[in-house]
Amino acid sequence: MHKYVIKRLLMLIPVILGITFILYSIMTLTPGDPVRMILGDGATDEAVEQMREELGLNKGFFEGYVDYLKDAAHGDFGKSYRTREPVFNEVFARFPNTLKLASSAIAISIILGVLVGIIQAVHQYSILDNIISGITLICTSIPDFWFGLILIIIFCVNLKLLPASGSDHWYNYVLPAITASMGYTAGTIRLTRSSMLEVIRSDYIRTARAKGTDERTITYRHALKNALLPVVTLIGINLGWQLGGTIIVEQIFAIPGIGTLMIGAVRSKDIPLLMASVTFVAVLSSLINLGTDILYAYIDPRIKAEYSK
Amino acid sequence: MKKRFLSVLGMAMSAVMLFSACGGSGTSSNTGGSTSEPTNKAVVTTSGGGAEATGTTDKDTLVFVMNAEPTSMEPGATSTGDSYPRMTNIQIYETLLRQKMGDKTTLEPLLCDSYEFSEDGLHINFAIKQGVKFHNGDEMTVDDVAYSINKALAMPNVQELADMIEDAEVIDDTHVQVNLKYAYSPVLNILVNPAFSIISQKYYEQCQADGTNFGRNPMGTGAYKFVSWQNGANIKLAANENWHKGDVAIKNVEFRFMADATTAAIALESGDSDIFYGVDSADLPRLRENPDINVLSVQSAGFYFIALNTDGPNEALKNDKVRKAINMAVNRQEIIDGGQDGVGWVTECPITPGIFGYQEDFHADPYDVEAAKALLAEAGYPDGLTIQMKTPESSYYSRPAQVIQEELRQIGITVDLQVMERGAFNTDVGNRDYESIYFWIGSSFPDADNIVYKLFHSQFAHSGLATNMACINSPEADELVEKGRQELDPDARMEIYKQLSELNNENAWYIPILTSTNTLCARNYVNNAYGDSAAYYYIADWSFNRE
Repeated sequence: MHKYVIKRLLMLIPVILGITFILYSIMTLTPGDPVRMILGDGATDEAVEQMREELGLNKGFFEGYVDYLKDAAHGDFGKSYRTREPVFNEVFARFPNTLKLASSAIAISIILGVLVGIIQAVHQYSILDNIISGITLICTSIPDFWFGLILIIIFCVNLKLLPASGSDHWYNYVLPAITASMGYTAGTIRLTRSSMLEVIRSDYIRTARAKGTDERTITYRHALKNALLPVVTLIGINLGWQLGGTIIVEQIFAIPGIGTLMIGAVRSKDIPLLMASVTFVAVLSSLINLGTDILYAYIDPRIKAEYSK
Repeated sequence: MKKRFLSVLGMAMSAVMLFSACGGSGTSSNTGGSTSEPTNKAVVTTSGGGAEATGTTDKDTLVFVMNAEPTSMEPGATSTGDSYPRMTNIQIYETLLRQKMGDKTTLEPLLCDSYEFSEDGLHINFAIKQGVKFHNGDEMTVDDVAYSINKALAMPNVQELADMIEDAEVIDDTHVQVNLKYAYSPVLNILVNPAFSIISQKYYEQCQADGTNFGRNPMGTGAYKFVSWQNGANIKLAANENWHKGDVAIKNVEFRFMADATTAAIALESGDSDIFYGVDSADLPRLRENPDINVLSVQSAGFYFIALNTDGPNEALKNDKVRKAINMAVNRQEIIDGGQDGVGWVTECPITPGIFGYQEDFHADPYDVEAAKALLAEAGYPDGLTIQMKTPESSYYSRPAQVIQEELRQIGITVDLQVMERGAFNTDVGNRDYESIYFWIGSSFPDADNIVYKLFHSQFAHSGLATNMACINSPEADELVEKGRQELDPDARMEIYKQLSELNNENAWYIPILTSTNTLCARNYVNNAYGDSAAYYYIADWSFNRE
């Protein structure tokens, strides 16, 4: 198990190298000059040259990348071109907001998703099952930005119950979390349902029924445990996605998270800021995946046995 | 087991309901009865204000939403034309002079008592206002004033705007003299730019010494003190109790950043915010109908145009008949209606309405498809031709450009429209790597020279900057532009700019299309809120309607 974890952690190194290199290449080789974007249309050549020098943009392609890696190895990821603040100041200032949004959205999707999925599986082919299937289909199909705006119109403009923007209070996160969780909830419902149905038909459940075990115990103690395995994977993947910045939701509800930060960095060609934020998110996603895998081992003894081989 | 699940669900449900119930406490506004029509001559159109206004009794924070965040609040550290740091900076810092409420052509003293030009126009002597204190309690001195101006002049962003200013020097305990390299009549307008804000030399140097980022911890003499800056979310300010001009009516200001214009408009409608800068033209009709909201639109300090590269890869554009044909094929009102939701002013001369030098009675060649076709045939292109046109990705450019594309198709010109990412577009413009562009130019101060010098003078034809984008090399244009710069008599200058507008129309180097609007939307309990073409919104001028 330890060996496995260490192996997985070491695999992060090529991931980071790959991501930074691809990003660096895209950002430096595509047309567009960050200095001109900072200084505006009318800046003089001397001013542009002066700033290029200041930002270290006069280096060659590989020299620039190698220098970046060297500095990064010493913990210096550079300063944002635009704000001149160390990039991780910005990333860490934004991350808690994304974390709040992502975790509440995931919490909603787990609670609602698993519960409704079980109800659906237990009542397979009932009217309820069909209605919920229809609703989940709609939920996966509705685009976030539309649903978010509709929620704003209902709850902020008409009912005046919740504010449309901001990130200072917990109630600022209600609508964004619902919006962000919608698609994931629907996915979790569908997966829970199908995985439950599969398990319910298996031999050991039939055995449990045969020996007269009460139906509730069968559903929640025997079936659910096994049925949850693929759901755990899905939740892990979802969490990775959400932490990567629920970009659209953050934009609509004006939440200063990682997503809006990355969009801003791309727009202004703020290379150090973009590289830091994307690398941060990538490492985080890898770690969450690793965490999911480890969790797997605890839920499923068969997998734990695999690791120890 | 099921019980446990149900209780979890119950908790979740009640939590959600609790969320919704408490949410309302985020805003507070009471209804009153009186009307407050903004009275300002710079306001071109207002709407909604005629209806019953809403008063507010317990409100002391103004929530000012804007659609982008400043990158730094250090004077001169950002582009001098950037309106986002301008809106925050002019509350915190002050300049020697300021624009009168929403009236960009009238300047009034702010940190000076008076000023005097020398006879040759090369020196301006400012009598500095005494007894002004910085937010930290230190008194502002003449040294601070000279230091701030000289510091600004050394900033890369400021050099282009202020290349006629040599330096500032201290004359005595109460006077600072600004020296010019050459006489330039609109120079005072340049000193109003927030880049020339007066800062405390001591505080700035102290920040440098201990590694504090001054741009994130600003301090000046202005009506509002800096409180906090939450990245990506908001900047908070509080009233300066020791302000040299007395008390301000609005005690706290929160600048809130909302990238999504539609949500921001909704936030204004729901009363979440009080002021919104950056409205999308699609949301305007709805806001105009709302009786609680004043839509304050003024002409912006710049205009959209087509520039035809006369020294580029397309030989046809070197032919003035082709260019004139294009000039006659554009229907400006149609472009405004189709590409800008009807928001904007038809612009025919290469000088924006509302700034000195604008020719009210000037008309470009009228829209005439047949005449344009005939001109094209005469030029040797009876079967039409293809022209590449580049434009930045924002819908402010791409949508009107699509209308232009369609209009030119009517005379047989196929426009190969390339909508580009902004950075890449800027690079291509710098290299003059285009056949034509649909773009925008703005003036930093309300004088024609600021635009036409850059647009028409041959020295800027291949400057690497967004100047002379038609690559004009015309001794006639050079002469007119230079005369306009040096001439001091306003009537003579007007005549010069009239000739220049005519010269441009004859040659169709630039085809001015439209002047956009600068719109501020305000809840109608904000008294005195005004529109301003360059976003000089001094919040100290405003108040809440308390009735």
